Amino acid sequence: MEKIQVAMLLLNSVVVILAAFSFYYFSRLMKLVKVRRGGILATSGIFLLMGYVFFIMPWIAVGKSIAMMEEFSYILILVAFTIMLYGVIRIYLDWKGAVR
Amino acid sequence: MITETLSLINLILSVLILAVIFMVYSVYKRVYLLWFILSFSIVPFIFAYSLIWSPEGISKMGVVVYPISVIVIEIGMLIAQKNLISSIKSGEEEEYQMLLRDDVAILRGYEQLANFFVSRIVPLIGTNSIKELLESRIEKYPVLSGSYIGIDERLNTRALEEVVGKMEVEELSVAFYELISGLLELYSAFVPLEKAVDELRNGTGRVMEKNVLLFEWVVPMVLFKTVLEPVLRKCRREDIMEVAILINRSKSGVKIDKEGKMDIGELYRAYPEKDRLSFIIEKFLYVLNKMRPIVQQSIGEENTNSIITENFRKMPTNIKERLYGEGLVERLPKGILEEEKVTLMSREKLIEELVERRKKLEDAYRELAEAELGKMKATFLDVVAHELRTPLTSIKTYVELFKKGKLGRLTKTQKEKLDIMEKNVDKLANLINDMLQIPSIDIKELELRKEKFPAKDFIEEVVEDCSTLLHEKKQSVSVNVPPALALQGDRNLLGKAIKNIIGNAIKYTPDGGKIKIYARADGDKVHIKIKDNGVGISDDEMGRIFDPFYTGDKKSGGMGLGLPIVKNIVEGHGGRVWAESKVGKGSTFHLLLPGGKND
Repeated sequence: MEKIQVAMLLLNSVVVILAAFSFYYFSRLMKLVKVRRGGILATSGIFLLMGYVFFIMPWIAVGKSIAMMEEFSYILILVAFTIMLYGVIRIYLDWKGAVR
Repeated sequence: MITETLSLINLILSVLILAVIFMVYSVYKRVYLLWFILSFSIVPFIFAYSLIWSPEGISKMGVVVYPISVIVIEIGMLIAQKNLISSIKSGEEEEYQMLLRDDVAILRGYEQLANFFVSRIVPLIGTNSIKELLESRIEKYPVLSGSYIGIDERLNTRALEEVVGKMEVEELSVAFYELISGLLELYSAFVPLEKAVDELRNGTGRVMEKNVLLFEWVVPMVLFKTVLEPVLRKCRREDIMEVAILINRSKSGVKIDKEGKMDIGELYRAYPEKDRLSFIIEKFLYVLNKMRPIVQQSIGEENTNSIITENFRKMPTNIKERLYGEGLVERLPKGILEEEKVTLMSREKLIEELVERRKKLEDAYRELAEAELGKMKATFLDVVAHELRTPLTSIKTYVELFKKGKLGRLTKTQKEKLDIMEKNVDKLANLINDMLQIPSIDIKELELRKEKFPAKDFIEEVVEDCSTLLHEKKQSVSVNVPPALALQGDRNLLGKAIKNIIGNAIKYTPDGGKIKIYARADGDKVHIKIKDNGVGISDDEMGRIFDPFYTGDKKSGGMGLGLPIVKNIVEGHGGRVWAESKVGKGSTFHLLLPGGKND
């Protein structure tokens, strides 16, 4: 196993732990607030995570980038950002109306 | 290449997302939003980094930038979410009202109300009885499971917040009503009933200050437990029993025990989806009207009314105001809240009177302004008539005397100049006469001069008046008007209007041209069409031909008053005038005037 593979494995385990914490707080938050855009943000979060996994996987597995997987990961991230943009715009419009 | 394009698009999208989050922050400045912005602002840099490295591919150690950036973003997001949760949980900030789910907000309201009593009972008897009460309620109403009396000696319902979305608010309300009602009973065992009821009023008032959503759910408690129950409990035992039998048999949803204690749990179960307040007011008035005669018999009419009135007045202001706003006071039986009824009635009457007076005042102002304007117009016309006409008459007289040689003999040149002078004086006099026709026609005056006359003869007369001009230009006029048609109005004014249009037609139609006049009945009006085959009017000019002093053709020598006078006369008669034209093909003027058939 190369050095970079070990480094990526260690760093990404921290990423996964933090993502789990983030998901925990997010689900707690959604139980309290009436913002209905939570589902949109969660969907974009899933796509983002998938994109990240596809990007990082070759580095952990073979210690280098695989062009096709990198492209695929960028497409997933693109989808995630599009959904997220829609979500934040809806939140902005909701809040703009509600805040004095 | 594909990777670079995708990176660029992702970079743009991430900047856009960042901008929108910043816009949210600009309307709603909160620390957690700042954390979101800070953590997300790393994302565009990641894609910029990808773009920089893409031609040669990311180096082996360079790739660690990605997980490190993601870790930083995740930490920022965690702090933001934690901040938001604590902000909502504290219940102090605006988020409490704005973001909190309605059912969670109602649950917290109930918790606060229950804790209001818990904090009063604990110093008297500790927490054991409260714990027992809570356990018995949990047994009866499982929706309360998870709530407990914590080490801080307060009721804690945080566990319920997690599952509140899965239960009905009505179910929750019945359970909490039972719990709060039990706490009230417990408290009233140690203090006089009046004090316990007072505390219920204070508690609901305080909870309502923070949480307006709770209003519909605390109103039944306030109305039945603080207004009706105290007065019923003052009655004789046999009277309470009589009221209890009467109410318990009815379908009011209220149950009364032999002590006079009211149980309104059924009301919560029967709460409708909409108009909850009307529902509860109806129920309250029903029970009040049913029990009142018996209570009056028991403790006296005056006493009953004064206690109920007093109980109403002691209500927390925020609840009282909303209830009064729903029209409850006006519907209360005679003798209860009489002063408030008078105040509310007089306030309504006062508003009505103010609105009426304001309307009258506005009408008076408008009439005054119109009268002032009319007066100014009349004064101006007088000035024009006297100050311009009088010297003109005098000039014309002297011109005539000079021409007749009564003021001495004149040379040929002087006579020629005098002719020009006379022509111009006549022109000026005509202009002044036209100007006097421009202001609105006095409708009242016009009514006096109105008559009905045959349209055909009238139009032929007008055409005859123009015969000199027609001969000069060798033009022909055809009049096609049914003999039975009649016009109604001021003959002289209408004659002037039609003459002005025919005059224009003659002026703008070349020598040998044809003018056609048609008329037909159109309901209770007469539609007159005056058509020529003259030069026509362009579309640009069409919108302005009825404006005073507008002259499309400067060479015509007119003052631009003919058509405005026509418009004024026709509209003064309640009619309408308009024109159609094609440049080079001629114009058609339409007049819609009052009329009908000859008698």
